[in-house]
Amino acid sequence: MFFYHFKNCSLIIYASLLTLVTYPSFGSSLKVLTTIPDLAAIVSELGDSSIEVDSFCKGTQDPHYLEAKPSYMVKARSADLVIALGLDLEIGWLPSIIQGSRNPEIRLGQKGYLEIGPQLSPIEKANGPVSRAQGDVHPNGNPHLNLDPIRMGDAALIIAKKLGELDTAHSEQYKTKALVLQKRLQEKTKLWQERITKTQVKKVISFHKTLTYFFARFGIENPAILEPLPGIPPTAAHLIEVIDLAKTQKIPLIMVENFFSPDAAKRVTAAVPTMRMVIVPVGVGGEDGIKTIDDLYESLVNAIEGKK
Amino acid sequence: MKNLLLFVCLFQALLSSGLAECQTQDPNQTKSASLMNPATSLNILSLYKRSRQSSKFNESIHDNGLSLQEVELQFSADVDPYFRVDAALSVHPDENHYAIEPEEVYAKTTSIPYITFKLGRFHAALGRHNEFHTHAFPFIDAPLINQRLLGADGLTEVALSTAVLIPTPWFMELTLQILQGESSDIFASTDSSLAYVTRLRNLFDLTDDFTMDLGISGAKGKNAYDQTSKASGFDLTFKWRPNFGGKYTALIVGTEFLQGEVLGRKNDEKPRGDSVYAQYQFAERWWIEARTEQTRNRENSDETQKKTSVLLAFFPSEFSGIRADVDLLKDNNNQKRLSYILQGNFTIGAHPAHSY
Repeated sequence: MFFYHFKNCSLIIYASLLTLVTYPSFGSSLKVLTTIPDLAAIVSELGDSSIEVDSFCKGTQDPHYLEAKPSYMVKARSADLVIALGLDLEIGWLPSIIQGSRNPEIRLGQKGYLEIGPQLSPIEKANGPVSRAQGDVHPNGNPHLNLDPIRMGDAALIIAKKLGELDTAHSEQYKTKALVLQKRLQEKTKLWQERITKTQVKKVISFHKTLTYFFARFGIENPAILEPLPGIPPTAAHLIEVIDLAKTQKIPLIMVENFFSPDAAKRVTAAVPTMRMVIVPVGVGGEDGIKTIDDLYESLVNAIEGKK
Repeated sequence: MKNLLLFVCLFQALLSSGLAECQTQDPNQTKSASLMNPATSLNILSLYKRSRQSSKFNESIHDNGLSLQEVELQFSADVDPYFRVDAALSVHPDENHYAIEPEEVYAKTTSIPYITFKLGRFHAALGRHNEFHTHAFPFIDAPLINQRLLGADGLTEVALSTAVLIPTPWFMELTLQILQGESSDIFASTDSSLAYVTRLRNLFDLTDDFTMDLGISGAKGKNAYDQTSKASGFDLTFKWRPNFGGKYTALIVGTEFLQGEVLGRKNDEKPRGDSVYAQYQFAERWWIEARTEQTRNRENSDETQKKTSVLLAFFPSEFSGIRADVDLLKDNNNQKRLSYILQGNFTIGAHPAHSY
């Protein structure tokens, strides 16, 4: 009986859904989804109550490898805007979510899709040919720009402009708040710089190249990472090289991003007793109490100061 | 005719409804494939197999040794603002040579809210496993009942599909498909009658890191014996991956039941089977898995098979994997076949993500 009415069922469904999707919604706030919680924190500050914002990735998750859960497609179905870092950070999961959402407004190139990474002068772009033999490389630049407070201030302006295009009634509010956020981060960056300079920590080892922009901003060298190649887990041979380097260059600190295991770092600090290791959040929400982008940078500075 | 005209008008309206304002591509936005070339990838599945069995086992061993299980060449790209094409060509052993065929080649809509229309050749939405590509199988092979009811390649046909994302707070997707009905294992009517498949899938986030995926499916069409074939099934999958430490651990537990009725077929008219499986990630690149399954003919208990599989997998990266599998297959006379299988899985290029 069901198959006999198959054609009629299909037409009824099409007509119902056409009515549903073209029915105007009144008084609804702008719905924004971001790929990482840091961007959601910025949007939240710009928008107050005029924006509903959520992030696919949580502060405790590695944004390279999120699984494209169908529930994310449900969230994206009614989104007005998706904001991504880009530079292939989300390439493994975001396209599936957008396609599965059946929301044409948020597809690449549409007004509801914004990639901010390429607009923020990414560093570590590949020179020459690249291949996966070099690990998980991002040929268009390191995507972890969210850990540079100056770039995030600039990002706030880019986001505000896009929000203003979609919600012209609040465009001035978004722009004003973005300027406030940018100025605040610029001023705090000077204070953070002073604190870091006082520590005399000039070199830090990290697990992955997540903290590259943070280190570059505050004049810290990152002479080694625990991964032998980006995305490849630490090997015994590589850890021996890292230990030798740490001893030779008297590196005082290893920072391990919170979604990696600290085991490899512990082996290094066991061999180099003058080093300390600290597990750090690299996204808003990565630890209790990190609710804003300012909290995140404050936490990283505390880690360098030895307050964690 | 009137229905067809109404459908065309409605389709055109739907196609345009989601395309209010097509922005000029921001030149600073990155793309993984250039404008003129599709995203291209190649996957190789190679096997080493060694089986031994009881002397009275009812099938002969013919696939011991090294083999190329499958090579899949995949292309995908946007056609224009309205459509996208995904194409997977499969190269696989066929008797004494290799055959190349379209595993899945289809165009689908991208600009219609809530709905995806798909036209081409693809895996039908009959159950959860039938839609997997070979290199994404949770185990080395498909469940016994899938092979028995739907054939070695599963139910794959030229078809038109409509998949609707129902506007509920959870993920609910209703898929309706019209198939050419040419699958010789279950359809292939003498008068080229169409066949129909439907699937309703629900996925619930029980918590932030724990999901339940529940699906029911059905299929119906005429078969080569001029009678009706039917199939129905359900699948239930639980997945857990913690938000903290999720790189290093995960657990998947699932079950799938499938039954069919191929009226008119003298042997194996009413096959039925189920599988229960678990996959556990115990380290960043290591998984251990187990599956138990059975299949039988509802009319003849002599055609019962039971199989247990245990598998250990190592994934050096997300693009390569080595799996070692041990299978024990028993028939209704308690005759046994024990198989040891080693599989290599390698992917190059820009391969789309697999479904959740």
